[in-house]
Order: sequence, then structure tokens, then C-alpha cells
Amino acid sequence: MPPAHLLVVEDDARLRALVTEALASAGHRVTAVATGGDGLAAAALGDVDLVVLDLNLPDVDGLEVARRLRADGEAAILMLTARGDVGSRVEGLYAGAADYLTKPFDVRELLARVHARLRERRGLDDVVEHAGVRAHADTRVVRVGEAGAALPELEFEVLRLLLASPGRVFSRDDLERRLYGDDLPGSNTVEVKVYQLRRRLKALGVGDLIRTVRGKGYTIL
Amino acid sequence: MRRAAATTRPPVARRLSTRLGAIVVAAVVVALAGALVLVDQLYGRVQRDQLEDLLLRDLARVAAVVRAGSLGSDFIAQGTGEVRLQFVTHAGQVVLAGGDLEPIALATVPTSTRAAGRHELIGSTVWVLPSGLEVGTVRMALDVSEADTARAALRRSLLASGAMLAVAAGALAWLLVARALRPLADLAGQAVVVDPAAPRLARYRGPADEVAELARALNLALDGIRERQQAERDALAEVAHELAAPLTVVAGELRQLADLRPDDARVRAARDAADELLHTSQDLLTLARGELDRAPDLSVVDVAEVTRGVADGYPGATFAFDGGDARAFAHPDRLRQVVRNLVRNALQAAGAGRVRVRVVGGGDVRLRVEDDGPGMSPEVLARAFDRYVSGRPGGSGVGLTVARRIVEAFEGRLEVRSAPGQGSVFEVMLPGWRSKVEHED
Repeated sequence: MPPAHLLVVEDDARLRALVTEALASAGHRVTAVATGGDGLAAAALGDVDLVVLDLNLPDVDGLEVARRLRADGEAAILMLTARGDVGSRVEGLYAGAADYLTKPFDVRELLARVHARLRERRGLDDVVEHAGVRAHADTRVVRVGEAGAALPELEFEVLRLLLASPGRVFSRDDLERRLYGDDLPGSNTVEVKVYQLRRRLKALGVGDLIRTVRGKGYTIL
Repeated sequence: MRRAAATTRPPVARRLSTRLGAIVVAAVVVALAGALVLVDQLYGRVQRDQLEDLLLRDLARVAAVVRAGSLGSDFIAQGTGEVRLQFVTHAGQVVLAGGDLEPIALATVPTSTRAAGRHELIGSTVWVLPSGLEVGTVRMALDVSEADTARAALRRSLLASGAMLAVAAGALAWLLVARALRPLADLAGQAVVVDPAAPRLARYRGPADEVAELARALNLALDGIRERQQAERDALAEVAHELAAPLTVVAGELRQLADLRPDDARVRAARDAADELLHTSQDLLTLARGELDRAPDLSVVDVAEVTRGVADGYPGATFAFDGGDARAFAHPDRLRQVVRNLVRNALQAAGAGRVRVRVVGGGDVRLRVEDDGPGMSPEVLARAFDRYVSGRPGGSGVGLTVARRIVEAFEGRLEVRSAPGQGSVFEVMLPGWRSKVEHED
């Protein structure tokens, strides 16, 4: 995993020290702050790839911090929660746009989650490649060997998400929320996008790239 | 363990509706029968009164006419089959008769007689000559068989319409009873499937009657249970919140310390103890927070790789992989939790060196954890996966519960074979990833 710039927002000093140390030993650059206000300030300086965000902060509610972070930038968010119901709130609000980890946690699990999020985010402004398929975010061009095609925005977004997390199953709900945020469109829009995307991929010779997982969603293996 | 939702209505409520229905139908039938008998009796009495009046009037007319000097034979000649008239002397001699000669018995009040297949109403009055001399009796017999026929016809039609009424009323009563009891049956059905871990209030749709009262009482009780559970959950969450940070810090710092000082057995022991503490708390909290009630995020996971990773952390267990495609749809953290719990359970039962972990791929993925421990008695075995029930003293009784719930969330199965003296085998079966993927072109 190439080094990234991580922001840790956690009010418990011991936990902040542990998380900072663990992420730093994995080779990342870490900025650690204790309050939501400081966190937003640090994020405003830009250049943050991922925020490890405690939900229970002394000044601003963690969910509010997450909302503002999302509004201002592209940083991925990993929430730390101690209460299960908060976990479900996060899930409902962001459906994958933010991941969460419940306390107590094993630092190794934290690292695994951070890395999964970073991998996923990388496809956002970069080139994401898997199974011989490359997706270029700047031009929305997908290349398979010598062949290539430009994709419409939403179809490219679907492909990018699936390519960035090989093996992960994205439910229709997940994809819908990622594509449209809170303004949910009609019921089968995602199906239509995936269908069109598959047709384009077939023309490139990789028609079976996107798999349907029965009753669960879509994935790329 | 969640209880399977009952899809059929409970038989109790049905028996009640049958019984009540039968009672109502029986009551309807008895009331109808009573009414019909009453109608029949009333009709009979009215009919008889009318016939008696007729007889007495005729007799009086005959007697008056004869006394006025007319001849009895005038009447006799007019005699029809329905009426017989006889003039009988005091000596009992029939001197004049119309119709057949069968003597009419003496009856001072109208009397019904049956003889020789004839049903007659008979009556008599004194026979007084114009001279004023009383010489005997005038006797009259009225054939009432026609009236009998009419009454029989009435009875038949009463019976027929009564039977139809009974059937209709019975069916209606049955329907109404079943309908009246539906809210009760509905309530019973809901009560049967109440999940003790998360009771949901019963919905009641019906009139404000005793059943509504019952529904209210039930909901009051359920509400109390729910409030209590919520309070306990909140308290647990509060405790968890307080413990979460220190636990994470202790386990995490010890892990990093152990990585820095790989030869220090005491640090390793402390790290392992902290890990165990961490994982047990995670299991307890996983259940307490209801995290397993939500669908897990799935991805294709190499079960062999995850299992090896966990087994490597337990030197007392050996790991073997039989090869084949061992990928399945799961969540890696949750799957690790499963393997960890099975391995820890086996190590606690059998001790180090007597636990074997094996993954078999190809098609469905099998993950087997075998131990040479004392095994389980059938009683312990039956409750092995029950929440908060542990087979050994000091066990929390959540590890296996959590493991099974997680495996089921992956649409797999977790089963156990065990017998005293023969050790235990826990086997996880996860559907291979291919069986979940649709093939499209």
C-alpha cells in the first residue's frame, strides 16, 4: 500500500496515540487531532486521503463532521463507534460512502479497513486496474488491452467502484446511494446502468466482467 | 436463537372457534325446533276449536229444527261423506242414520275418536220431539281427516323450511363466530411468534371488547419487557462505551510491544490475554448491539487464507488445507470471528496440541475444527449454540452463538458432532462463490 495522508480525529488521547502509531508504522503520514473543529480545520488544508473519525467527539457530533467533510472534499471516511445503533445510523446515512468500525477493535482490523478504503479511493482520481481492465478517471475511458471506450459518467462510476474493490459485493442500494446521494432515482435505474455498462464491456471483449450475485448485488472478481 | 416464524395459525384458536360455532349452531337449532313445535301446537288447537264450534252449531241447528217439527230424514238425505248424523233413542236404538251405520258413541262434549281408520270429531245433544217429549239423543260425527291432512302438510312445510332456516342460520352463526374470533386468533398467532430477544408489539384490529382488553394487556407486558431490555441494552452499551477505548488501547499497545520484543514470553502472554479479552467483549457486544440482525457487507473471501491467518495465531492448533477453490461470499472480519471462536472453544475443551483445523475447497467450502477433548453429552450438545449457555464453567456462552449467527448470515451452516469420550467436530459449510453468481453473457 503506497503511503497516504491520514487524519485521525479522536478525543481519547490513548486511543489517538495507538491509532496514530499503528498507521504511522504502516508507512502513512498521520495528522492527529482531538476535536471535530480541529479535524475540519486540518481537512480544509486539503491533501487528506482518509479520515479516521470518532463518532463521539466533545465539540461537534461525529456525524456532522462527516457530513461537512463529505461536502467539502473527497476524503474517504472511517468512523469509529462504540454503540451499535450509531453504527446502523452511519450505515443508513452513508451506505458505504463511509465505513465504520465498532470499538473495541483490533488494530490489525483497523489497518485492513483503512487500506481497503484507500484502495477504493485511489480509483477516484487515478487509474484503477484489475483483471486486465483499466479505468482512467480523468477521461472516463476504460481500456482492455489495445481496445478502449469512453463511458458516460454514471456507468464509469459504477465500473470504478466495482474495479476498486474486487470481490466486494455492492448491493443495488449501495450503488444507488453512491451514484445519486440522497436524491434517489427510480427503482431500476441501477439495473439499467449495469445493463448498459455490460453491453459496452462486451464490445470490449469482457462481457462477463461484472457478475450478479443472486439476491445481493454486483461484483467484479 | 431466533424462533422460526410460525406460518400456520395456532390450533388452539381454531378449536375454540369450532366449539363456539357448534354451541351457537346447536342453540339456533334448538330454538328453531321449539318455535316450530309451538307453531304446530297452536295451529292444532285453533283447528280443533273451529271444528268443535262447527259441530256444536250443526248439532244445535239439527236439534232445533227437529223440535220444530221437521223430519230428521231431511238432514239424512243431505248427509255428505264428511258428516254422519244419527238419531238414537234412550234405549240405544239407532232409528235414523245418515252415512254408514257404525254407531256413533255418546259424547256430551266434542270428542275426538279414531276407529276403523277414521278420525272423527263426535258430539251429541238431546232429541226433543215437537211435543216436548225427550226421546233420546241426536249424535253427529265430523270426519276431520282432511284437517289432519292439512296439519300434516303444514308440519311438512314447517320441517322443510325449518331445516333450511337451521342450515342458513347455522352457517351464518359459524361465520360470525369465526369472524368474531379472528382478532383473537390473530393475536394468538402474533403471540406465538414473539421473539423473546426483541418482542414486537402485537397489532390489534377489531372491536373494543375483551379481546381488545387482552391485546392491551399483552402489549403492556411486552412493552414492559421491551423497556427493560432496552434499559439493559443501554446500560450494556454505556459499559461498553466506557470499556471500549481502554480495551482497544491495552490490546493494541501490547500487540505492538510484542512485535517489538518477539522473545519476551511474558509480553506475549499479556498480549494473548488482552486479545482474548478483546475478542470476548466483541462477541458479547456483537450480540448486545444487535449487529448480527443487519445484513453483512459481503465480498468474495478466501476461507482457507482467512482460516490460516487465524489458526497461525494459536500455536496449539494445527492447520491443513486440502486444496480446491475455497472462496465464498462472506465478511472477512466476521469470518475471522467465527474461526477464532471455534478454535478457542476447541482449545479450551481439549488443550493445546489436540486441535486440528482443516479447510476443504471445491464447490461448497468446508471448514472443520476437530478436537480430542472429552466431547459433549447429548444434553450439552443440544444447547451448544444457545445464547449465554456454556458447556464449561466460566464460559460466557456467546462464542458459539455468535459463530452460528454469523455463518447463517453468510447463508451457510454450522454443525457439530460430538459424543462423550470422542471429542467434537465443528463444521462450517459455506456455499461456494460460484453457486451464488449468475452467469450472463
